[in-house]
Amino acid sequence: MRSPSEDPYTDAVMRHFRNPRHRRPVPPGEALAEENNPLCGDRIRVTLRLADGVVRGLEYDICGCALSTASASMMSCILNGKTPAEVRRLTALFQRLVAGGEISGKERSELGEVVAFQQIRSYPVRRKCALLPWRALEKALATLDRPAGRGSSKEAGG
Amino acid sequence: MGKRTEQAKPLDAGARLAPRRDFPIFENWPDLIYLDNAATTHKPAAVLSRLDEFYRLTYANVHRGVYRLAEEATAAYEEARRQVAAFIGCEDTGELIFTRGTTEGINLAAGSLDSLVQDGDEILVTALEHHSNLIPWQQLCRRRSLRLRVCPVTPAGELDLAALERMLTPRTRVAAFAMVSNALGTVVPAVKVIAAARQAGAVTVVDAAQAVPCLPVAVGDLGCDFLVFSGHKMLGPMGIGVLYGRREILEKLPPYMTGGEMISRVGWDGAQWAELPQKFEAGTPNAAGAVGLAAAVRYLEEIGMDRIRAHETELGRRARELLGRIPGVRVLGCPAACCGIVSFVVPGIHPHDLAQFLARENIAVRAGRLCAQPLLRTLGVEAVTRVSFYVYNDLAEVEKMAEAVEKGIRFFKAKK
Ligand SMILES: Cc1ncc(COP(=O)(O)O)c(C=O)c1O
Repeated sequence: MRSPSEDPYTDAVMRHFRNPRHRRPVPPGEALAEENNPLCGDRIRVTLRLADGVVRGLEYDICGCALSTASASMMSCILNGKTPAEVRRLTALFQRLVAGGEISGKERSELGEVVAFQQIRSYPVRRKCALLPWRALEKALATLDRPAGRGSSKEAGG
Repeated sequence: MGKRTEQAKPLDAGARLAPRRDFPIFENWPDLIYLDNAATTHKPAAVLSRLDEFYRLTYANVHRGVYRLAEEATAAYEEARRQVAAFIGCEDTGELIFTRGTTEGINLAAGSLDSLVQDGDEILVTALEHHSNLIPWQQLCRRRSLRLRVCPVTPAGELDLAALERMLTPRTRVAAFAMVSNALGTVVPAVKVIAAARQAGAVTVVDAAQAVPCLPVAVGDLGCDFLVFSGHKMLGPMGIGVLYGRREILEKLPPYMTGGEMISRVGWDGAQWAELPQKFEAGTPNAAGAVGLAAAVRYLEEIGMDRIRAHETELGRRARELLGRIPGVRVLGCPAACCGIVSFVVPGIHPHDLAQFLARENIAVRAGRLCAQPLLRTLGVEAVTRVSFYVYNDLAEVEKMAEAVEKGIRFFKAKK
């Protein structure tokens, strides 16, 4: 059985869940990307812009659980002001963290509070919750790469 | 016997019907309160040892060899068929097809019924369906340009029988419905629905995945054409299930899968189908699963399906009562006839968070969309937390669950 130290609802997670940073209503027209979790129907919309080569105004609207909400909040806190290349590197680092991969001391300090999500390694089903905002962010960045601008999010038909 | 009223409950109502010690899983998880029985149930030692015995003593491929061991394996498989058939009141073992489970049973029915439908026909399902009893029909409708109609539910979570009557027309070729809802626990008045559908000339398909485990089911009394269920939800092994089909209709239908064991004569240019039930059992069957399912059926019969139904109703009723009293909890539906399945939401708290919190308290429940997305959307929710009971649960566990839900709400709603 699991020890309490593996509890996913750490103080940091609960703090961000109760007071999510950079969260606001983002109308669909303004969102650069939208992602959902088919397991539970959770949704997130992300918007951001690039100014002077760095990410600014990374904001989101989320209908999700404590884990996805806290993940979105922490993500926005550490990534605003970073270059797209740094964002991609930190995203890969986050993916490694929740998958239970090795994280060096230096990488830990780069992630800051986000390391709280290391606990998720014991809860494979909830990994998708933690990753949802980051997936939306990757998609949002990709739309900026494309000169035509907006990408459309498509749901499976049926 | 003394005078009894409808409400009179036995003194031990809500006590376990089966001791936890019969279920080896609880030796390894002694503190676990398992309330996810609508997803799958645990196995009594009697089922596990029957599986073991089958592999140790009577294992060979069935319906093939002429040596003694193969004959014994075949006999065990066919005896399992007889027992499972008897359990659902089916007298003709040719009508009892072993499948992988409910999902395969419905796909078998939908695949084979392809040959009976005509353009312009309608298929009627209900808003209570599990995706398993929706998507195969959607696909059939797409393939053959049929119209899929969905009988609505009332806000209480019951079938709207007036709408059902209206929607059953001479065009309705198939009426497929869940006998017990896996999301709301509603017990659908199956006899009525089947009678109405038959009168309209429709073939009736009953998804009894949640019904056979918790109430007495007799296909003769129901009068249905097809009835399907899964072994794993009734103490049996995974990977075994049943499709009951009326002989008259099974004989008319082409097989759903073809291959070995389901033919009587084969040439290079064609084949003749074997007799029922082999016609619908292509390939090596899950004989061990069937034998294990028969052991599960014996275990359930020893308890008695009437008692199981009363037990489920009692635990479900108590769960609804206790959860309904907690401020902020919305219990979904309040069907007059329901069994031990209760879904609820707490606005502001995500079902997965609540389920995770309950897991921390050693209480296993389900959270999510329950393979019933359209139904949940109709009820105005995206996802729910669901508790579901079985023979090894008791009222004390229901009470602990409700306490833990209250505690969870305090945790997630705390200001700081
Ligand atoms: C009402 C209903 N129908 C169908 C199914 C599918 O059963 P299985 O996954 O065993 O095929 C389930 C189980 O989840 C169910 O509850």
